[in-house]
Amino acid sequence: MLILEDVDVYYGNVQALHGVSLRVEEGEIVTLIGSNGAGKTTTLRTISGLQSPRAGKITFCGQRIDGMPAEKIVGLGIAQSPEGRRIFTNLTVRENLQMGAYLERDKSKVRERLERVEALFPRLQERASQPGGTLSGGEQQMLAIGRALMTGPRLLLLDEPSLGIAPILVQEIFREIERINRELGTTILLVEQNAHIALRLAQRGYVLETGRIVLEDACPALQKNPQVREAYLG
Amino acid sequence: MLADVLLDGLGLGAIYAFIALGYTMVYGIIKLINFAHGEFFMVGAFVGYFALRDLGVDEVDLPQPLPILLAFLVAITLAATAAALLAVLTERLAYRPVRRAGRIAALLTAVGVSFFLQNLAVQVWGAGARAYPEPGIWLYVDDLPAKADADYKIRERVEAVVLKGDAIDTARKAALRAEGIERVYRTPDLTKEGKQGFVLLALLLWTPVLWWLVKRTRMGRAMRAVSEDADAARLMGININLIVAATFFLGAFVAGVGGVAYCATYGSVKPLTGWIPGLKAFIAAVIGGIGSIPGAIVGGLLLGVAEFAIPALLEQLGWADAKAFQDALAYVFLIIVLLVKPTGLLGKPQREKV
Amino acid sequence: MDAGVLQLPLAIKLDLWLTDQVILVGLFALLALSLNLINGWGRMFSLGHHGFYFLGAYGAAWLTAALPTGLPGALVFVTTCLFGMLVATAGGLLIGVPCLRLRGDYLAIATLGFGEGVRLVISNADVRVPPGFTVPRVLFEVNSSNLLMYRLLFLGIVILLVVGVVLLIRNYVRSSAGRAMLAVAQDERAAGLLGINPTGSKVLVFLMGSAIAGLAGAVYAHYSGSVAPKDFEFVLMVTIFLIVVLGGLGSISGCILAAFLLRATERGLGMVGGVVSEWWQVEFALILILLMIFRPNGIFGPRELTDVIRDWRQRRRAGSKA
Repeated sequence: MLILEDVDVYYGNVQALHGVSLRVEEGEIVTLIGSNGAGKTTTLRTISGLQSPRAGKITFCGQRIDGMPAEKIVGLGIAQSPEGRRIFTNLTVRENLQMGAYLERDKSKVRERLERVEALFPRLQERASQPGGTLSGGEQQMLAIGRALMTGPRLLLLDEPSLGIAPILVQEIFREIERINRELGTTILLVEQNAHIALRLAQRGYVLETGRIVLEDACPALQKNPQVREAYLG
Repeated sequence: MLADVLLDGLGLGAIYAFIALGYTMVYGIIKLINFAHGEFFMVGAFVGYFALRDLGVDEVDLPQPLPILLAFLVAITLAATAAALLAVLTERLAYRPVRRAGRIAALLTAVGVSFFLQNLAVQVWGAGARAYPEPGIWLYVDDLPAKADADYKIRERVEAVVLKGDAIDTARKAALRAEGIERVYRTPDLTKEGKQGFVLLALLLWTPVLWWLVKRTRMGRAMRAVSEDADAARLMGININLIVAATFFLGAFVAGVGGVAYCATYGSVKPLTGWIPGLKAFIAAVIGGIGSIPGAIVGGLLLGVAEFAIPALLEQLGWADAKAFQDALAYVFLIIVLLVKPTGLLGKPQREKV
Repeated sequence: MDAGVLQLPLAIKLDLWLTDQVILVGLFALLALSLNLINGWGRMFSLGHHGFYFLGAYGAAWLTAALPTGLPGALVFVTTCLFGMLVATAGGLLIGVPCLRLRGDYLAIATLGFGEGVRLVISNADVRVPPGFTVPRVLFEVNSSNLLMYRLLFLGIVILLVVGVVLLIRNYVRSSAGRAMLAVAQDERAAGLLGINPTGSKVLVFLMGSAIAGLAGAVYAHYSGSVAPKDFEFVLMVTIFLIVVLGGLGSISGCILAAFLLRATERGLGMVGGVVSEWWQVEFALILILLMIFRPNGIFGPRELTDVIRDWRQRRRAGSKA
């Protein structure tokens, strides 16, 4: 479904990604783990078009998307819940969700999606008219995921959904992520620093170090891999 | 006395508010002090001037105000649209290329654009002030009421040929005709206070429209989203360039309305018309809280009233020269507000973007 | 100018014109250098430099008219120039101390407000102490026969000042206070952690800039013999800024070169559309916009002319070897 081939990304003169290649198949949950500054977020930003690669190829469902503006890529069915959640703090929770459906002109479809998201995260319905900024960290993360789902994605990119959130809520959020994959059939690419929880949820995983993919395997194998155990599960 | 000062202040303040709205919207979305905004206002005022003149607002035949109102409506629409299109063009040609070059480059570009438009206007329309077309209702001498209800004039003379209250009998009409006067005209009974009332009314009508546009429509939501976090907005499928252009359009449209209102109230238009009011309107926007629409209105009205009330007060206290400082007051205000409450009266505390 | 000038030989008229032009270029170079100190090296966005220039000119004019007649001309000249400088510095203090804590574009609007406000107040108010804003000649009475002498004298003064300011800036940038300024410009918070007082450093630079602008204004007042507020409008600010960005933010030689260039183009552009054409203002603005779009750091950037020539030579040598 999504294929990255030898992608190089630069910030100015600094190279952030060195020939990154990875693939995500329809219906999978794939995780990308690595330490701080390894290039995980850059990878996601490049897929969703916020960053353009200097070399390499990105295809989504057979269509080249590298160099395409972010707002077009959303329309093709790739949604991202960005690092740090980045919800619109001055907009209400409901308005945040409506922003997700910005490209959908059909009002009945928007309503349908809204119902689905609010069924998934009932708290968002309870707080519908509150400004997004007043939510707790965990609720904001739900909102960020819900907002991404409102775009009606086929592929959902999640950037560090556990970052800065109370452990109890992390469990809840990851349960919902699994449900999204199972019940809605949405493919998921999950970036996490918390390798424990990511490798338990995903089927396959990639390990990113200083901008390079150094390992790639099924998650149970990665969990047993001594290098991974030492560096990320220790 | 107090009522006079208040009305003068509110009238001018409403104009500041009209300009401040666009300033605040554009600043909210791309964090740029669009110095050229005052020039959009000025161009709007000029287009309104030409429209009013060519619509012949000073030569309306019927003794009813309807055609005059209609002419003003058409002129204001044309003026606002022209200002808005100019703003979109400016954004596309000058601001968009420097959007990523840093704020200093962007701000300097804005200064350049402002200066460019001012001087272009000087070249095209001349530096001098032009009298704004004043509505005139023409009557045949025969149709004059028995007791004149206003001063009636003819083109060739400055002073009125028939004074208000004059009795017009057949003999008087014959005498006028003997002078070669077939038609006379009067201006509507609109004092400066009346005009200022109109401006306030216009502001009152516009505010809910803008509020609705920004709070309730899909485009308005997109504007607010972009102003908060442009990258996150792109991830929602929002085309930033389109939304920025729409913001410029809307802001300049309102400024164009204000331009016609300002020049019709104060009676003249010139290429520098937009410069000082523009600066002050920006200050008004900062006072009210930059990025906030109600803030722009509150800030504008407050600044307008202060500009009249404070010198008047100082004069009462025996400082004869106080009026000279009227123009500097806004800057003093600005500095005080920036030091005491940099987010303005109604602004929300903003996260510093790193 | 009196009618006698018209009867002078062409060669002298040319000399007169030329000295006049060079004096103006020198004054603009002073303004640009001092603005560059604030904006280029100090990275503070000020749009009120025309206000300091005006304060300097007005202060000098006011004191010249206020002093009793009969004092030695040179003494009056020096005193009034220093006074003009002092007034501008006081203005800088007044606006700088409260405003330098503001972020970039707020500082810009506050200083712009100051520059415009000062002029508006003085031209509105009934405080025209030198009647009609004229400045009495103090050095010597000027007539058609000694006009060239007069101008040459000012040419000398202006050149001396430019050289002095160039040396001042060079030494300042290399001094420890100057390095502190550059550190603050780079990263205020980090500089603060190193024990530098950011506000103090910024205020100092701002005051130096306003003092130099005030001095230039005072000299201008004596040279031109008038301080009409219309000569200190925003167009002046735009011109100074154009010189600074043309020459490069943080470049001394670039500034001086750009001052010459601009004066030359202004004359040139003015002639394109006929004798009284004012199109040059439109063209100036256009140049500024295009410069910002294509070369936001100026033509040479923060480099000196000598660096540019050295680079060019090296590149040529490298090219000839290859």
